[in-house]
Amino acid sequence: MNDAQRDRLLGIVGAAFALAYIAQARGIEDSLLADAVGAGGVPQAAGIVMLLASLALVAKGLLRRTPAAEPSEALSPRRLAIGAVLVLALIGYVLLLPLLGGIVMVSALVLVVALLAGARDRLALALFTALAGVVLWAVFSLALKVRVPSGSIWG
Amino acid sequence: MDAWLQSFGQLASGWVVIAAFAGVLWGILGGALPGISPSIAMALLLPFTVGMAPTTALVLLASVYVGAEYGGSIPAILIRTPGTNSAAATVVDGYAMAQQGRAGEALGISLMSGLIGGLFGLAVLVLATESLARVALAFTPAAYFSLGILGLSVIAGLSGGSLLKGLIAALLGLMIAFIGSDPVSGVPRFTYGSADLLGGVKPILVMVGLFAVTEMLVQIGEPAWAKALKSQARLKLPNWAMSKRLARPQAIGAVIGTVEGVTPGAGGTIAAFMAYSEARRWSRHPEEFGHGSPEGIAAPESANNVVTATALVPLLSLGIPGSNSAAILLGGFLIHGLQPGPMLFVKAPEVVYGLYGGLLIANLAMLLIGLVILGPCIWLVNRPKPYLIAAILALVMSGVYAIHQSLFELMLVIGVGVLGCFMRWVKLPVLPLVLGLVLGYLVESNLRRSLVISGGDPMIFFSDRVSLALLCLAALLTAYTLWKEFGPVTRPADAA
Repeated sequence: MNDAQRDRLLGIVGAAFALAYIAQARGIEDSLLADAVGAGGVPQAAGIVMLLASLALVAKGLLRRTPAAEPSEALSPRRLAIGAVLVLALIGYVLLLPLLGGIVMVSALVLVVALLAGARDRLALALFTALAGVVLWAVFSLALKVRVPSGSIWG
Repeated sequence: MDAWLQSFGQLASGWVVIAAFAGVLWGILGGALPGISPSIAMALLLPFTVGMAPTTALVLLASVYVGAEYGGSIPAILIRTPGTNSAAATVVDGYAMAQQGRAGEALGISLMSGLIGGLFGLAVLVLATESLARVALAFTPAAYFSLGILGLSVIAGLSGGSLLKGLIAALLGLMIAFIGSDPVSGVPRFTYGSADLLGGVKPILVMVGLFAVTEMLVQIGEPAWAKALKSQARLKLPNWAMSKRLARPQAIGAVIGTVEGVTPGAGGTIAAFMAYSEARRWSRHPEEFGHGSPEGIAAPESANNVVTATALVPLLSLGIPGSNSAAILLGGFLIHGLQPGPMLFVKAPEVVYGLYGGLLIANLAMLLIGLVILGPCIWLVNRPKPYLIAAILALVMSGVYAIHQSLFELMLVIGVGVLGCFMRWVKLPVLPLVLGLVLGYLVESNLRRSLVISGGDPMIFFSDRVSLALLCLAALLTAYTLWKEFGPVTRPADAA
């Protein structure tokens, strides 16, 4: 996908988002303390400007002559997959944190991330995983006095 | 003079000194890792500053910026990979010197030029900021609104070449700023019944997500960087003759760094390249540039270190963050309930003067730490990248959780990280979004306050002289940008 195509895509996504945003902003109810502009006034204005800017970007993308030499950068499926799995791992970390606790989840997170990033040395990986959970727990729980979840599953 | 005396008084606090040294150390290590920009190194520490005294927290963050600029030159010189964007200009002659077996000399020049640049920038910061802020003290709500508009009008400079994209990003930032209770009536907006959103989206979460999480999501698919040799770990400071030769490029770097630093959006990278170019133009040995010229290191390194201080001038005096690192520092102010801008000198002058003092210590700490840190930096650069990414992500997630122990905020940071990846893919600049986010409240609340005062008459913005001047300035900036964007100049892309 080249820059002009990206601009058009961004413009379309931006315009759709702006329309939905304007609809939401119009639904904001004012209180008795409301001023002349109202709680939804400025957000509506921002939505309208966003809509216009997005449409202008689409138009610019359509009018722009795409140079023949302009490289078309395809998204690497492998990189996309690694990124998606990493996001899922991070979401899993958040969901399981109260259940399994800080030490286990930090260890699990660094293990998954290091494997995704290409770590293959099993011994180093095991050491790193074990140390990361304990070290970060010590830093946050003991040094910074942050209440790190201990994990409801452990009672 | 008062400013200096008060800033020295702040040095009596041992925590400020520790923060300066720790920040510089973290910054050098972070800057030495390719892919970890100064703003990312700062963003990683941001959650840890929550429980600190404001001065200590801000000195810590600002010191990271100072340290990272030197740290970035280490891999630039040793492995031809700039650790930070602004060290890119150092690669040319730094790596050439390393290939000639003069890596230690190149690193010494980088360190000393950085120190000189940093101290010069600090002097400019102290002299320029308060006088600018004093002018801004007479601001009415109308003038504050216009100041916000002026802040938004610098988007163009931060847009990376596309005004429309910068505008869209800034509007996205404004929209995030509108989430939560309405500043005038208290009506909830865009909260969808979530109590977590009633207080709005904290800028710190957006910054950590956009800078740190996005970078890691991108870096995980990138190939590993090159290895550095341990035999290069001996630093050599320039002797007197060399120092005399370097004075001219350092002065060029200082002047350019000052101008670029106070201009929002310009930043250290542009300053470094401009300084390199001008140093070659004014050099007695221009033929050496590109083949291992010491002047080719001194000019960009002094320029990008001047920027570490001068980039704070618009932030401290007007509340406008002109660079990613200034935006993170702004996040540090906001965490502690401080709003940078003219009132900062009235409400918390001790924090500003403490920051000045901390920056002075940070520059001296950079010299001391820089003399001994090379070995550990080479060790760090040679660590396998997968472990570094894993450790950084674990640190980010633990740090964000430490702020309010909120799982919702963790999810928000992940979401913003994904948004950042999309933004990077469609080449939507990040800084305008941050600008919109931090200026959203200022613009909206003062717009509505002014209209309440004037009974709904918008002429209040033109009858107030300061407001009018700021709006004219904003209009001039916007007109200049529009001319650059749509004017008759043939851009290379169109010419192809």
